[in-house]
Amino acid sequence: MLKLQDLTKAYRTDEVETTALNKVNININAGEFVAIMGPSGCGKSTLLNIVGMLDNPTSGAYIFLNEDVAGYPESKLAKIRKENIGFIFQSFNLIDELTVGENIELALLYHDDVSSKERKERVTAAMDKMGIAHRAKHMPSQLSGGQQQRVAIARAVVANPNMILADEPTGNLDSANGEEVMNLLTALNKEGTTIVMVTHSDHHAQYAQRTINLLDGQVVTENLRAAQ
Amino acid sequence: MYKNYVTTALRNLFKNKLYSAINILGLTVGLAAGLLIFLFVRWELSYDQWVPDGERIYRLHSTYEIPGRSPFRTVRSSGPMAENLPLSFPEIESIVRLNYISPTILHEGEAFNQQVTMVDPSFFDVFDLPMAEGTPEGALRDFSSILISESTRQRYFGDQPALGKTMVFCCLQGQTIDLKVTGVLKDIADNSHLDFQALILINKEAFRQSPWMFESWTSVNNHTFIKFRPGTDIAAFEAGLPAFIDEKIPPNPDAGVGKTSDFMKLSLMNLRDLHLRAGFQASDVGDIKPLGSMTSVIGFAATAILILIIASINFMNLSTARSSLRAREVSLRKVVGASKKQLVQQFLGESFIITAIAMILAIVAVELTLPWYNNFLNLELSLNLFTDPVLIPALVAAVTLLGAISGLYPAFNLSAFKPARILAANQSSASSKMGGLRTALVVVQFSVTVALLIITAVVYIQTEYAKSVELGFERENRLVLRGVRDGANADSRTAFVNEVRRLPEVRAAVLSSDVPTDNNENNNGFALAGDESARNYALNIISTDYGFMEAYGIDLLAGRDLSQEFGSDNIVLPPEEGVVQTVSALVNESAARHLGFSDPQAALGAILRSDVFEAGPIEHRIVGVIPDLQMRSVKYDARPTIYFRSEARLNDLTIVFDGGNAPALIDKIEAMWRENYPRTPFTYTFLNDLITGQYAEEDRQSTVFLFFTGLAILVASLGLFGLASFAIVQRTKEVGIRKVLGADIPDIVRLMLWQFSKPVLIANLIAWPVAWYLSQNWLEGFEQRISAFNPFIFAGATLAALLIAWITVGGHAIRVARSNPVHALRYE
Repeated sequence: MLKLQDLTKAYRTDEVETTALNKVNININAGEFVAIMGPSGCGKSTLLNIVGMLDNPTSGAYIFLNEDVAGYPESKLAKIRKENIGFIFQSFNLIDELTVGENIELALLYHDDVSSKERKERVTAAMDKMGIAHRAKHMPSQLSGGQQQRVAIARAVVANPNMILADEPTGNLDSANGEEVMNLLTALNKEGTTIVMVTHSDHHAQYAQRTINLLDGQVVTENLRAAQ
Repeated sequence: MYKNYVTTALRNLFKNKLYSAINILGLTVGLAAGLLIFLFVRWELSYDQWVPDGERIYRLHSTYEIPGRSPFRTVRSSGPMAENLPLSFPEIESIVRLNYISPTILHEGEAFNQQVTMVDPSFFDVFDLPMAEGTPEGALRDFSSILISESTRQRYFGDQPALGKTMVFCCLQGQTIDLKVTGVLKDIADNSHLDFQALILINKEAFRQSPWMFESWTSVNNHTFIKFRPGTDIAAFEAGLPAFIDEKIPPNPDAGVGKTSDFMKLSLMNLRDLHLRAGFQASDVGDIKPLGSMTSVIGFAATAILILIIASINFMNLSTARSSLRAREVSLRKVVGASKKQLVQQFLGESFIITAIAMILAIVAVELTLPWYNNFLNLELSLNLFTDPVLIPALVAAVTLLGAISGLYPAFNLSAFKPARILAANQSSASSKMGGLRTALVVVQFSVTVALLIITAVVYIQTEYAKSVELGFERENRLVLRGVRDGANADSRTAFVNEVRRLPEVRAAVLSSDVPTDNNENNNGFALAGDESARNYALNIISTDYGFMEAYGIDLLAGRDLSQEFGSDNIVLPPEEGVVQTVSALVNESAARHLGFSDPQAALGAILRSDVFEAGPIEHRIVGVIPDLQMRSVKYDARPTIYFRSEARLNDLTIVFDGGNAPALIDKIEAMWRENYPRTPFTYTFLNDLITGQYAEEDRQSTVFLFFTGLAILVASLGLFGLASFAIVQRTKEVGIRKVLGADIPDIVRLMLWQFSKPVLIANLIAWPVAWYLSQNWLEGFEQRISAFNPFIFAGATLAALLIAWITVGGHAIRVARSNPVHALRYE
């Protein structure tokens, strides 16, 4: 699916240079469920942003579906991103002014090849799948955290991405809702979606097939777990 | 405590430079516009306030309800009114006629055109005006006395006293008269409708041959001013006028059956209202000075208030939009014990400080723009802060009012924060949306802007239309000379006209009593032969030379022009005793219709009977019909008019020339003039300038409106700019989400622009009907006008408003669209 080779990301502010990622090499195969762990500031989010093509690496190669996208301009990245990648955030990042249905529909709105009728159908299907169909007309502020995250997941999957990037998807949820979200992600993975998840929770990392541990911008260990 | 407020206020101003600049700049522009308009409006309203007893002085206006055409309204009245009204109405304290003439003054071998007012001896009883030399009692003693103004004295005698000096009047009723200066009037202030440059007594004997001047009840050539006794009920006086008219004046046959008062109406207007209102009640036919317009005054005053409202809304919007940034300050102040009242005081204080800074800047801006503004309005307005007793209090009041209006809502809004929530949550209290109220206020701003845009466009287009409207005659390459008859004897006149006609570049030179743009109305009754109703049809008379229609390029609808080839095309004076002359005449289309002819051809050969111009009974045979000409401003419709040749009236010469070297031609004509008219100054105008000159006032109005509309747009855009920079920052998170989901930069920019397009579009819906209604009202003052419902104007205004909004918001939108979504989404 994707391959990071000697990937480095450095931030420069005036005279101080901070290296967030330092020659990282990672391979993720299609259909994998990978957890990324590490303490705060180890570069997890930076890594996820680069993998999600929201940020460019300073050096190194990022091979995504056999294309080196490391130097691509934003417009090209946006195109690859919207065709292949779905995002789930810790803080859900729903738009407060849009209803649940509209928030989910948003992910399809920027796909020109999806007709308005098909859009409606796919939104309804995604909501059904996440068990939030009865909330379609509600505003995000009327929902619990767990429900909001399910909306966010529905939004992430509605465009049928090959890969979902989840940035601490359970971080703002209680344990019951957290389990629920993990089960949904596992189910998506079973259907063939590649999932890359950043988490602080060892317990939730257990759901993944492989855990990559980062420290100070470098991969320190990779634990492979047998498929269940 | 107050020191702390001021410190906080000033620090906030400096900390948020963009917002402060927008606020102060917006208010400055608003206040400067307001001040400029205030100066103009105050000037216009100040007319004749200074005239002693002005509240008791009224002018008598006349209206003739002539059947078959629009009424003839005039600010003048007939001569005998002044002699007869006091006999019937004891409430009249004094009454005076003013009759303006322009004879020539010969002074040290040079000829000058001089405006002279002929007045009754009661002049000083009505107008108690101060004198620079002499006394009211000593002035205007007899027919050889002349009273002049200081400026007139300056013109002829320089700085020397003028009392007792002699002035030679040329050709008052054909004779040279020596007049002795018996007094000098102090110059009348510019803000007066009155204009006295030189005064002589009315000498009715000298006008025996011109009974219409002072003796006819139905000729209106005098401005009659009445001073009433204190406490007079003016309405009651006016109510008594119809009975007076019926008693004194026999019914006019043209009115058909009925009383004179059904046909002829009199009304009064106070001296102090004349400048702004005389144009409403009567047409401005022959008024003393150019009139102002109440419509302009109200329009400008409204514009000033609207610009201030826009500036004030900017302040409210930016303050409340920014409130989240100050939530912590407010909360902390509350925690340490500030009451809500104290906070309101603090924020109101800030609003006053900002308004006061803006006012100081506005005063500077006004001082800088005044010379230009004055030049444009042809006024001498000034901003005398320290000598003008009204200005400082007015400015303080304006700052207080505007500061309060702008500051009250934000003050209450800011001081209402709940400190516990804000401090605990460590968050802002503002919603990420542009607030509903803020949107509503933006809608108000843009409604005003769009309405002003539309109205300005309508005024501008109508003015351009008026200047280019089809007149029915040619206007290019035509030179007009006045006073051709009055200025010399018949031989010289004939010699001059013939010499001009012989010039190679002159295609025609025709005489007439009127040229286009003349506002005279010379109505007379005409009976149609064979018409059994024995009705008298009122027709306006214009005397024209042979070949006049051809020279003016007028295409006849039927018949022929007047021509020397026909012996019958001229009125012979004096008439032969006992002989009824038959003279050819042309009528215009309105007159033909008025006389009952369905088509122009049918009118040919018809005979009209009259006794005009002391020629005894005359039969006018209609030999031609011309279309209605747009002789006057498009404010007025065409009058039913008859054209015939009466030598004694042919005073204006129109010279049609081949385009090319006009100055050289004028030089040649001037030389010929000097030779034949040694006692009359040479003056000329181009017909085209006369016609466009009629719209000078509209031109000025439309440019001034354009200027103030521009300012309104500027202030509104400033506000939108500030609000957009804020509102778009608030949507950063949303933009981040959308970008993550695949939106590209154009998607985001479109989204942001749409957010601000919505209020602009709603504003258009509000502005359209209002602008349409106001434009329609304004346009009704013009007989010939553009349609107020012009889709191009409305669509253009909408597009302009959208473009303004897009340009204003675009920069912010692109910036936020280009930002990396990661920063927006990382933290919450």
